[in-house]
Amino acid sequence: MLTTSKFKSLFFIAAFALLATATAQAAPKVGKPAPEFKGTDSLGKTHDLAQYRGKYIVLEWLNHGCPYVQKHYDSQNMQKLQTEWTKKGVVWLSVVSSAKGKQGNEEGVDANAAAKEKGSHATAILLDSGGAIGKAYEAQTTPHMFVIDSKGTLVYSGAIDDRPSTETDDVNGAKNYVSAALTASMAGKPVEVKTTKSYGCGVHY
Amino acid sequence: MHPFSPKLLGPALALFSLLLVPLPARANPVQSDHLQVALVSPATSVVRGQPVTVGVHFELEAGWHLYWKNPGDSGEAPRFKWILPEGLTAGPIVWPAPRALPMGPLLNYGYEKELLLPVTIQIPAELAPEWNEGDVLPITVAARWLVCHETCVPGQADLKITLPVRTSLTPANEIHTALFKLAEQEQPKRIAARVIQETDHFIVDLNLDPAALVDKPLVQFFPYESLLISHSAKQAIEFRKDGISLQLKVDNARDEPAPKLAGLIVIDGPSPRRTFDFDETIVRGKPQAAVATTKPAAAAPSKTAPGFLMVLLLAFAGGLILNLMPCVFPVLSLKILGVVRHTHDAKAARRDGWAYTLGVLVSFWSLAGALLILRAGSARLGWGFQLQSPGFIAILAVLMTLVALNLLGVFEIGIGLTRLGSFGGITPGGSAPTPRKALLSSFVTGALAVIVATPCTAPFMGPAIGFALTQNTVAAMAIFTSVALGMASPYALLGYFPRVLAAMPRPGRWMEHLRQVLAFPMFGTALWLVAVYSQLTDSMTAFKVLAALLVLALGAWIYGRYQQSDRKSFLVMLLALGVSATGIVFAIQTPDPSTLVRNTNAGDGTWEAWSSERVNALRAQGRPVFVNFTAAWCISCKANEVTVFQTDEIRQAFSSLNVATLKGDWTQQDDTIAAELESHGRAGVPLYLYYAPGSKGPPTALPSVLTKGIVLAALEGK
Repeated sequence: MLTTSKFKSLFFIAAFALLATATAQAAPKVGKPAPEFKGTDSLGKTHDLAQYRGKYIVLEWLNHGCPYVQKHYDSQNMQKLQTEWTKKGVVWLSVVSSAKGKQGNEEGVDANAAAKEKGSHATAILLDSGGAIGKAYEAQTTPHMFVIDSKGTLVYSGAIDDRPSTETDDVNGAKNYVSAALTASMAGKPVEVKTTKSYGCGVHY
Repeated sequence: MHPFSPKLLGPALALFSLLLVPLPARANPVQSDHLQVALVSPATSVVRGQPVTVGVHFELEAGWHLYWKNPGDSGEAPRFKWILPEGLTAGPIVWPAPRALPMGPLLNYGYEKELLLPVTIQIPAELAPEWNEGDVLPITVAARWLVCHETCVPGQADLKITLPVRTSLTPANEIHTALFKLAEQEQPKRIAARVIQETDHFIVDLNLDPAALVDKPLVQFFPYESLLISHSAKQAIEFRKDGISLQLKVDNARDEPAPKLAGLIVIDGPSPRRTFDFDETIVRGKPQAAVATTKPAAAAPSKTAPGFLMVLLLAFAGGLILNLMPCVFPVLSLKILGVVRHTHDAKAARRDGWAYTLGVLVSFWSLAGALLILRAGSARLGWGFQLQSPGFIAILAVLMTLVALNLLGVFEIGIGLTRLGSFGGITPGGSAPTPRKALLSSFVTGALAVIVATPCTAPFMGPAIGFALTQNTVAAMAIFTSVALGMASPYALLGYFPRVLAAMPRPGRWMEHLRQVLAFPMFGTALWLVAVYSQLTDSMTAFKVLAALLVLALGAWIYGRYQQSDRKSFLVMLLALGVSATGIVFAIQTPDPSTLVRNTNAGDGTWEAWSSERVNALRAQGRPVFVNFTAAWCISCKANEVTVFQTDEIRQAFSSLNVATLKGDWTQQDDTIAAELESHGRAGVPLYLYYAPGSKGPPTALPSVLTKGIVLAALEGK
């Protein structure tokens, strides 16, 4: 009845201008200020971006039921990273964005028990069952890693390393993008690999 | 690393092969978590120097999926490691076209049910001399995959087939040949494309065979790599006579501009799935230049105007018809009072008419704007989305209750601190309000009418709004504006026809009676809203809303007493406001998530829950299928149910013709149903589809307002 194929007009130009403004809001972008976040951890404490101004922050999206996360925890890779960098003053926040009723959701007690069992050395585990932090950062997978520098700028976003697999053996010899970004940025050098495609299970919003 | 040495095993296998006649071309399938996997081949032997095709064949448990080579937002593609006799080499996986698999706000690309991943193995002419005629060549693959539903499970298997070496080809395995042929058909045809980046969008222009574009099939682009486009963002498509133009959102996460864009175009239409692909350098330019270079035909507005004018006209007519819909009537009744007030004053009637129009416009723009922005954020919403939120419904119920109480004269608005103008535009004494108050009142009435009217997608509105949502923002807003103007036009123009005005009855005491009578349809609307609310939550939560409304009514009554008393006590006013506020707060508080109905699309005794898989299964059985897309808040749907579907005549017709009846309930937000409505060019319910038995093509869409005759005629294939 209506021929869409025929309909194209002067509107075209203006439409894109409009769409551009509608969609160009604070999407997380490396080199730009990191999106604001505010969340409660598994012990009931609140954390937000502003309170850590002056410190480096690592955000790690977490779901212990996901085989990709298990790869990094079973191999102790994640715990080693957490220990190494928190010792150097980095704030390491593991974020659980699985919605209530979805796989991977962690209530406060579960999260503490899981963290203890896995030997997590994260600064805190943020419970984001509403998905607000996840959506602000457009976190897609577990794990999905973000590095924020002491000025609040996002300096890395993406995969934990360059081996997108569930095999524990792959941890050895993999290039760890998070360590590389922290090392370079803390030394005042530009981060070489700033954005990669994160790999893993989908975040269960 | 693999302990398998083909050379040593060769003689043993050769011996073994003598016992195997005919040879199994399919390895024993391996049963793994949520799937069964086997290495298969259409070939029954290998010939030196001739390539042989093998494939890993997955059969998946319902609901589970595997991933494409670009898995999308999450997941991982299957990987193969081939273990082959010396000299043999395996080619790359030939990936069939994937499907888009949404998961919350994320989008994955993958496969459900069944998947064949073919690989070509090169057999050299100078195959090692120990392989003699009749020897059995082992082909082994170590396959690894990730299979996901909501959770993901990695899997692996070593799969093997053995093929005897022959000097000439032996007859192929027919079952597997068919399977591989199907996979081959899905292979894309490489075409040229023009890819332009405009700030955060790619515009892809393709020329395609017009035959592939008949009836505007579903078109989807699958990028070969991630970090190019936002997978989950809506892909806007414009159809031309000889091609399409796709608008794809650039992936924000990417830190530097992408040099090239490559991917697959899948056209899902009434004809079999067709696939094309392209790999092009991205041109960056100013939007104007882009339009000028890529769309010379589009620059002539005269050519394109008639189609769009037609849409605007339809939208206007749809808006006009909205005035007659049951859900607008209560608010309309307010307008009647306003009109009557001006029977003697055409000038005031005109002013009022325009204020009303402005109210309608602003309200339409806000709703349409909200809808477009939410959709730009990839939420799959359609018209009526407002009524899919319990909070919004409760607010409306509060509003309707207050309006009804006001009409009954329980309290007045405009006496006291807030001089906002009374809704009806008249006070009980019949004294004319000040012009400014009257204008504001008309504006508010207009705005209110729109909010309540939206669920009634009048027959003309369905296609017009469906079309609007497929268009770019400006065009969509133009269409919504047209609907708004259509709806407001009778009142806007009334002032210009003094004779019509003169025919209206004179104001008088009857107006107060009318005003009070009109309170009842408003109460009715509030009741209906609570009924919808109870569909989204549970009856106890809905009852709490009713109780809260009662408290609100008490508060309003106290306020009315306070307004009429001579000695105004501040305490009484505080009490009135306190009680009202308590009522409102309890009515509109977010219901406990545990009471929210998880899935309203559940089916019932007569109607089975709709899913596209179920439709396909029933059609495959050769049964006629009738699909009814409805929602609790859709009044026209309910009307059709009572007057048509629940009659003995239609029930008998359904059962005697063995029609499978499926119901898609859209009371709650539901991406799958929204997508299905969209694919039929609709943005809202009702939608009635009939698939005739044995038919292959798209279904017949029945009109939104049904009669028994229409349904019977459709069933009889007329």
